[in-house]
Amino acid sequence: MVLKIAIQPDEVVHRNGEKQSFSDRWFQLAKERGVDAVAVDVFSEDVIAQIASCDAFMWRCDPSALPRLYAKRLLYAVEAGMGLPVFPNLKSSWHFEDKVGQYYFLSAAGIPTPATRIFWKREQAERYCEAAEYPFVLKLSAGYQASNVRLVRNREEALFYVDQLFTYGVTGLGYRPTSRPRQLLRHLRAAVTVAKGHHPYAPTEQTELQHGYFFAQEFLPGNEFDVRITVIGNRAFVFRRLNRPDDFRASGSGRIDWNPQEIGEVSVRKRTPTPTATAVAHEAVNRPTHRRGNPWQQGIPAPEPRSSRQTSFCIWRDNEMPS
Amino acid sequence: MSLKIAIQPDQVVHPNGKRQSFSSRWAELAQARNIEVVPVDVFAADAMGHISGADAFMWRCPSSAHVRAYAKRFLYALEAGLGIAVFPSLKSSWYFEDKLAQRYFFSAADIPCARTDVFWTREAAEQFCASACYPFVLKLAGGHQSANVRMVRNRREAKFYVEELFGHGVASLGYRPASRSRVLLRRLRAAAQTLEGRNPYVPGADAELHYGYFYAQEFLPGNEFEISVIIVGNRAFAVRRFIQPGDFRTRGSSGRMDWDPEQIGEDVIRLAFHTAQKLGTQTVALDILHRDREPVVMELTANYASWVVRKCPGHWVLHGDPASGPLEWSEGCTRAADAIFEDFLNEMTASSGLMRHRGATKEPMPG
Repeated sequence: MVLKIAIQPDEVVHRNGEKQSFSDRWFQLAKERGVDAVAVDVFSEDVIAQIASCDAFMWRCDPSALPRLYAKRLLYAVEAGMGLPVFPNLKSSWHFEDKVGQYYFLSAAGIPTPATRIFWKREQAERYCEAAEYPFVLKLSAGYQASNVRLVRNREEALFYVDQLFTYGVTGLGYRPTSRPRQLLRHLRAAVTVAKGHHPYAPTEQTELQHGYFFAQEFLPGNEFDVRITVIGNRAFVFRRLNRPDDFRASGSGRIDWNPQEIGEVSVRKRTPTPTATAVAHEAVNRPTHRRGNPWQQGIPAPEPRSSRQTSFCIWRDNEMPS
Repeated sequence: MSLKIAIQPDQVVHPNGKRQSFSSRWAELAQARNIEVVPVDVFAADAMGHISGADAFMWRCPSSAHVRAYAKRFLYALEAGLGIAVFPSLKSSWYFEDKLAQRYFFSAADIPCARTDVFWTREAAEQFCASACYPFVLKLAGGHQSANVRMVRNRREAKFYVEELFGHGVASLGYRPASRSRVLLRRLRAAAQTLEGRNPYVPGADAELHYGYFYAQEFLPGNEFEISVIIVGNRAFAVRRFIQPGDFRTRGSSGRMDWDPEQIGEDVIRLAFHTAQKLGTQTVALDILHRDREPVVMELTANYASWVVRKCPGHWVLHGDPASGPLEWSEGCTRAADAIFEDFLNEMTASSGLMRHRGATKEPMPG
């Protein structure tokens, strides 16, 4: 019997003009192997029926808020409710755009991370800011390519973000503390927008409202790059991302070095002991920063819309590496 | 070596004054069996460190949005990252206060349910409202005890909610369409709050912002009551909850109820067992209505009131397959906390022989 895979079409055009479509490639590969591939529309009413007539389902879903929140539910329903193989499966997508979820998982699994504190109560966050060691890195749970990541340099800045996160919430960390008159002007501008019937603080298809938590991570100085390792099964693809000019963030900088000689073996190996490693179908791990000579894991990122050229990737297989 | 269970204390006082604490009962039961209990505070910085020394973790977590957002991540980290037995497990909590996840699961698992349309774009929702069959029931993904459920009677009402859900988002379905002057007044009030530096649409600590979807469910007329079936392992407890006069909703566990097992059809019990088995859940409560004579699942919840279970005169025990396996009636009252604990102990014992990954937790960040 011929296998039949349901595939949701995807296409992204990167900033460098490169087109990316996993689904197009999957259709090609399926054809070459005599597998029947069927395009489905996940947003159509009968999507479940479309998938039900197939043996598996693949969707390279977008990291923006609304498609993601939908995808999490649909993918799990197909995996657990229909019992079909799904890409990405639950273990591959659990951490998708969720740094808070990632931190708890990495911590429970004993995987080294920068020291991180997450506060769920305003009082605790405020107490922390009184005695914290500055600077530290403030992150929102969702956000890619270094958006929603800030270096907080002092108590005043920290308390500003506490106030934002525990009162009206934020869809991004765009605003910075400012003078009182400037702040009043911001409020006035927003109030006029609301009076006109628009919604300045509303989430959008791309962004979600984040509030009620405060995610603080230790700043690791002296790192000029991070190392991005993409693990697919037993393959590791590695490159270095150099920091943005005059910035501590590397994600989204576009300054990439693919030289495999620059990558420490321990970084690649350390990826494997996680309990889910063998079950993970596709996973990318930021292994950027080194502290006291050890690689530390910053987080498990969502698949980046902006990919790097596959031809330049370094590929190491576990069984090819010296023990 | 004796077993060690980490337990997060919980306590709820129901609207009828009844106190409920699963953790207190679990601690009693553990003590009676010589099992060590480690009380933990999940919000403490060293919570993970405390739990990593135990063989299992139990938390009857509340349904408030804020705690739930934390609990989902924390529980999965323990289950998948630490590799210990957890109550509630991922399969038991995936659907918790998430009617959207439930809707897709029912559909994928082919579980009889009310016809539900979910729209993820304003245009699709507007198109639906133009040709919908009124009335229909509008629901938000979260919200318990009939909160966030509205009967939408006409196109004007429907369009109002589309505007709210794809505009600023809502924390509840409290507002209804109003006259132009009233809308203007609402808007000015919101502007005044914005001027004070507040987001007028941000939800409170117990609620969440619902945005960017429209969940419309067929209205099933002629139901005078809904049947709530609570499944714990292979046991089913059932109660009828009557619809409030002049409404289409029940008042959760605060309204009129009836515990007579004779009034519950076997098909309802079998449907509940079938659903629970598909979910792979440790425990779940299902609200069931009838479409014509066919039982359909309306919604799932993990946070049922324990006193409702205790008041059941007995329960059904399923042996084998939900469709054809024998159903045995077991007379006498049972506490939900006891049944959960008993099953959980079996789960722990069964998994204790398996290899577990036990990672050391990191020291928290100083300060």
